[in-house]
Amino acid sequence: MARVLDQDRVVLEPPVPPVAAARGQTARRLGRSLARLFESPVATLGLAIILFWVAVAVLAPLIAPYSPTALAGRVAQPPSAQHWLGTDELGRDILSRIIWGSQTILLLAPTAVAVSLLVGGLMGLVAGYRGGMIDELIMRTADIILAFPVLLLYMIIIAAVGPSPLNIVFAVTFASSPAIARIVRSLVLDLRSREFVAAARLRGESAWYIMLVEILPNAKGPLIVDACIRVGYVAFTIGTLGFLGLGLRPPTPDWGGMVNAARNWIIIAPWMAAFPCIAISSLVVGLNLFADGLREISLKD
Amino acid sequence: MARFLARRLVFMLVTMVAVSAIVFVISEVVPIDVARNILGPYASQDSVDHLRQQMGLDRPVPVRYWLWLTHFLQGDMGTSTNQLTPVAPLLGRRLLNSGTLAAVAFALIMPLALILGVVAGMREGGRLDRLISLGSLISTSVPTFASGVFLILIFTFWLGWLPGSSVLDSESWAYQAPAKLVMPVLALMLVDVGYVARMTRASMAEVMASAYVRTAVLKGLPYRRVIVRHALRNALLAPITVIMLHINWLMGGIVVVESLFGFHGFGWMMLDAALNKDVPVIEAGAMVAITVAVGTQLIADLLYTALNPRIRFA
Repeated sequence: MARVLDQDRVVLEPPVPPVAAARGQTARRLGRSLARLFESPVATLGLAIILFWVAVAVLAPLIAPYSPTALAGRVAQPPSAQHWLGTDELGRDILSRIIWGSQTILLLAPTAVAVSLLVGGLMGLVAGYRGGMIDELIMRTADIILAFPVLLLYMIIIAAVGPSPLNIVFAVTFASSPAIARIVRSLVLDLRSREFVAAARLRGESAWYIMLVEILPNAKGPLIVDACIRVGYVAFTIGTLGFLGLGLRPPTPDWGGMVNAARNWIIIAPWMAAFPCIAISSLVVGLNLFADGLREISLKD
Repeated sequence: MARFLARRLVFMLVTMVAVSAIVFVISEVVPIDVARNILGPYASQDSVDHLRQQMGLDRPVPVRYWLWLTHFLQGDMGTSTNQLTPVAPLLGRRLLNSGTLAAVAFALIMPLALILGVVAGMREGGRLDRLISLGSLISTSVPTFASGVFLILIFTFWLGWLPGSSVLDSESWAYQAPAKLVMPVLALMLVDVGYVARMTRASMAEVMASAYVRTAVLKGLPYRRVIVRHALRNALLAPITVIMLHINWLMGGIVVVESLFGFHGFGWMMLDAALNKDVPVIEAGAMVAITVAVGTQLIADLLYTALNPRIRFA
């Protein structure tokens, strides 16, 4: 019904310049998608969890009761009025470390996805648009990287180049851009035979112009959905790397790293491992609930 | 068919060569003095140099890679630079333990996930579907190490039912200590059942909306028969490929649970080797991983064609 009404309105409206019309349409479609997102309680819950952690990360300097690296109390104390979530194996306040640790993961995960999207997107665009030898070369390389178990790949890369935020972004990019390249390539293969691409070619536009200005904007829908799913997955991976001792160097507050340090204390001081586990789990659940809601909306469109 | 198999075999070999070369190169990015590590900080520079020479570490990377490759092709996997033992027996023992763990996990994950997915997909949007979909989304989202910690807290700390670590001390093989397998398997299941169930559900829901299922219902066939005879076979096609490719992902999960529970398996061996830059072990393990990954991909393709009469090898 809503769609019919929309169409009617478009017919009744006075003619507008095409660019302005397109802009209005995008805004309206975005608004409609958001409205539909809130119709799904699950996606709304996901968004709420994400916003909670974003707020925690932004407000960390204001709300954290202690410094994340200060030895604020006695070693391995259970939750109390001074230390709401207890203290860790060195006597640091666990709540403060979780609060500051949210910054680490909320910065790293989207950055890693953005860089992977850039690299994988370019690979896929070139492979799909140029075809031929370049396509073969890029896609066979992608096949080889994708054939190898992801976590082993991360382990080998990070163990070799050393754990640091930059190297985590590098490893994630190395392992996930081939998958993105595959998606982009299949989208490009579909789009490049369309009339507007032929028109651009006849106008004499350069290959890069056609790839970036004509084709890429038309492929962005599925890419946005894929990127959202990927952020959850990368947050999962960053937590895991931290747990394996391949995350950020101590004493940087890092949720996975906190669990790693708490392993041997798990029976004596269970809160040390439990709270960072709850933090990372809730964040990944939130990201995935939101991404799933987004995916469902895109399927309905 | 023969051509298809041959192409897969070639792909596997190319991948193995490429990955082994990449691992060699990556390990050289930040050179670590293996000889110095073995002898400790107080050894004289002379003896370190001597050991380096003995181990062949003073030769350039391409030469060492070539030596490794030719030895490997003759079945010689070399010596672990960290544990100073031959790689082959170590790898064999670890693989058997991890194989036990993976086989038990896989045997439990598959049927459970398929049943959940089929039940959820049978009535898309129904209450049961929403419950299963949400449950599986949440259980796949919890990182493996976190589900492992939660399991230890419940079964060891709170209930005291199970051992909190799976270190094999008196037993030399994993199957001799079933109680030590329970929690690692459960942790793997929590992450993977949800994932496979969601794939199965999507595929089942798609089949249930198809014209031939509607026809079967409309011509008055009993519901059970529609599901079993008409829907299942097509609905299980996609998940079977996914499940096989999922073994790649399962290997990652195995690293995590083995490290968390102290289980002497392949995953822990690889983590140890990566952390200590034990290149011979990393290389041998990587070759195993590729064989498993490409092999399962091949099985997936064969199963897919066996189940789908529309595709036959040209």
